[in-house]
Amino acid sequence: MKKILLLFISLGILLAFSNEERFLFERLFQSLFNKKIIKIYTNKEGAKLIKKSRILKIVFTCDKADLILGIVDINCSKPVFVLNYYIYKNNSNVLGAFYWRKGRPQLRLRKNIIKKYKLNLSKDFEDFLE
Amino acid sequence: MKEFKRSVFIMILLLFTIIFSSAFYFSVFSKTQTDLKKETFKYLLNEVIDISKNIENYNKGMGDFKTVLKNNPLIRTNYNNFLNTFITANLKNIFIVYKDKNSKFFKVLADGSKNPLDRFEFDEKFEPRFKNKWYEVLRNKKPIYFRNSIEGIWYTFLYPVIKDSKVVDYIIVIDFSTKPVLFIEKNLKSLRKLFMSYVAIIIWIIIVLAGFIFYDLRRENEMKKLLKKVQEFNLSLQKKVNEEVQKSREKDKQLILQSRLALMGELLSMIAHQWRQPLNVIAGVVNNMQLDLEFDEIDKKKLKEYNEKLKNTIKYLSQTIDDFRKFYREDKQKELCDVNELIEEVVNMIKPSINNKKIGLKLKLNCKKPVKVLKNEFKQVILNIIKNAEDILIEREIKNPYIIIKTFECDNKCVIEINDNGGGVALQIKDEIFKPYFTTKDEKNGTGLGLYMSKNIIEKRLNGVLSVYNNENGAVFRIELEVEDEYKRDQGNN
Ligand SMILES: Nc1ncnc2c1ncn2[C@@H]1O[C@H](COP(=O)(O)OP(=O)(O)O)[C@@H](O)[C@H]1O
Ligand SMILES: [Mg+2]
Repeated sequence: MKKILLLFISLGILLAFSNEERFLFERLFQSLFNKKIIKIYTNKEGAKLIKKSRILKIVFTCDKADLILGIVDINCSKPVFVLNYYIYKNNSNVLGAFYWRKGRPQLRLRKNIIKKYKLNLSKDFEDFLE
Repeated sequence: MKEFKRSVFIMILLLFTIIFSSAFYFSVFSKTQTDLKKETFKYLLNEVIDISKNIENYNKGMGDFKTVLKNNPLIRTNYNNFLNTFITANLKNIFIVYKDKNSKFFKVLADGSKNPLDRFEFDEKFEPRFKNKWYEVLRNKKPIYFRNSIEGIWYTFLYPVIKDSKVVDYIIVIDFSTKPVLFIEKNLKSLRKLFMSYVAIIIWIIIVLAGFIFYDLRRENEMKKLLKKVQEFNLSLQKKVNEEVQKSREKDKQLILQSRLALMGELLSMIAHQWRQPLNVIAGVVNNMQLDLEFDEIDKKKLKEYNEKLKNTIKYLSQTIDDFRKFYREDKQKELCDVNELIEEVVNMIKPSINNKKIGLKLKLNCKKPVKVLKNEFKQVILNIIKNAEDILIEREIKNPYIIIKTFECDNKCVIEINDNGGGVALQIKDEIFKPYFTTKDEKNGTGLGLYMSKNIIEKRLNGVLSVYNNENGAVFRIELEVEDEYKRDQGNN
């Protein structure tokens, strides 16, 4: 518990600096896919967040991707991670979401979707499962 | 030096006083600053607490707050609007959260935010930052506040509302800004800067002042030293001048003696002339005695006669020797003398040699007042002048040469004039003859010192005047000597 708290305090502090969301994504996605490099298909907004990452590689076709970040107008059966609360809420097949509320970073993950895609999640993120 | 030390002491004292008082003021200032900050913060906090209490009271009036909100969306909207009324520039966020015991998430009941992108939905899950603080509130059931972001402007205030005085029903969350505190701090900071610069300026002024005083004192000291040096220099100069004067006096004396010695040769010839006559007399007496002895004509009476004659002659000889010897003695001090007597003494010495050269000598001694002179030096002058006259008369082969020596009184002075008929001093050299080493004679006969020394003796040592002029016959050397004071009065009485 303490470890998680510490993680979150540090996460919070880190996230206070712009572009530290990337750091969170890297850890989260590495944990989910259990891979060193994760290929991501994304829109403009998502690309902005991860374009500097060495772990999260942007790919331009959905087939090659491990994950879709944000909303894209394409039919693709890859897991989707969004950056908006309402999209997350209204689409029950979305894996998870990251968004800000009142200067506070919010992370949500759906257990059933993780299971559906047969992904695994490290204990650090269990707190955010619903 | 004393003054210097004192002023340095005062400066240091002043400096320390200012530094200490500044430190004191500074600490007081800092304390007030922190107090002010604290007070302002407290004021803000109290405002936030008051708002929370008001909200709590308002909520109580709604009955079971949570269920009312859950069941009625319209009330929810109204309630959100109500919360919104509290939002100001310094109260950024007001929202209400709760946590069910079995849920691991906080959930939002109401949110005063107007921004749809940043507004919590009803029952939206909420992940707080600094979670431990939130749990602490749930545990302790006490309000809490903590700094929210790294910039430190935003604080979060958590106000738990307790149900049945047992569990925390919900928490009123207010994010408030401490901008006013920062504002005060900023102003105080500039005030502090002002104060610091003021102190710095004062210290600087004191240092500059100290520098000036230091410089001034040093200059004064240097001036004193210089003055002392000048004084010392003056003293040594005086000493040196005295020494030099003394030396030149010594030199003069030396010169006088020297020139007197120069007269030696001439004097020796004079002695020779002087002694010729008495020696002839002695020789004659001795001759007569021898004749008388041979013819056995010696008797008591004759012997007595011879004896008498010899005695007188020898006495005369010894007298002349004494006269010459006296002349070579250095004068100890001025004596009151009859000028005529002194002149006669000189004439006695010189007469035989002058007679020998067929030069006539006439004396007209009429000065009856005594004068104070150095005897031998005066005699030396007279001798000098007579010798010069003699030299000229011989040199120019004057027919019927003569020398006239006159003394007479004139205006309380005793005047001595020595006149010859040698034709006088040439006008071109009249100004030169008193200068040292000026002579018209060849090396053997002239040194050029005679008249220079004579003028020196008369004018510097006897306070008289020696001058020369030509009359129809030749040069006239004129000596004027002050008559002694007492005798002047006598004359005045007459
Ligand atoms: N009675 C005099 N008549 C003319 N000239 C004189 C007479 N006395 C001195 N002088 C001139 O003054 C000069 C300087 O005299 P003095 O100083 O006694 O030096 P010195 O006798 O050694 O030459 C003499 O050389 C002479 O030319
Ligand atoms: Mg001479």
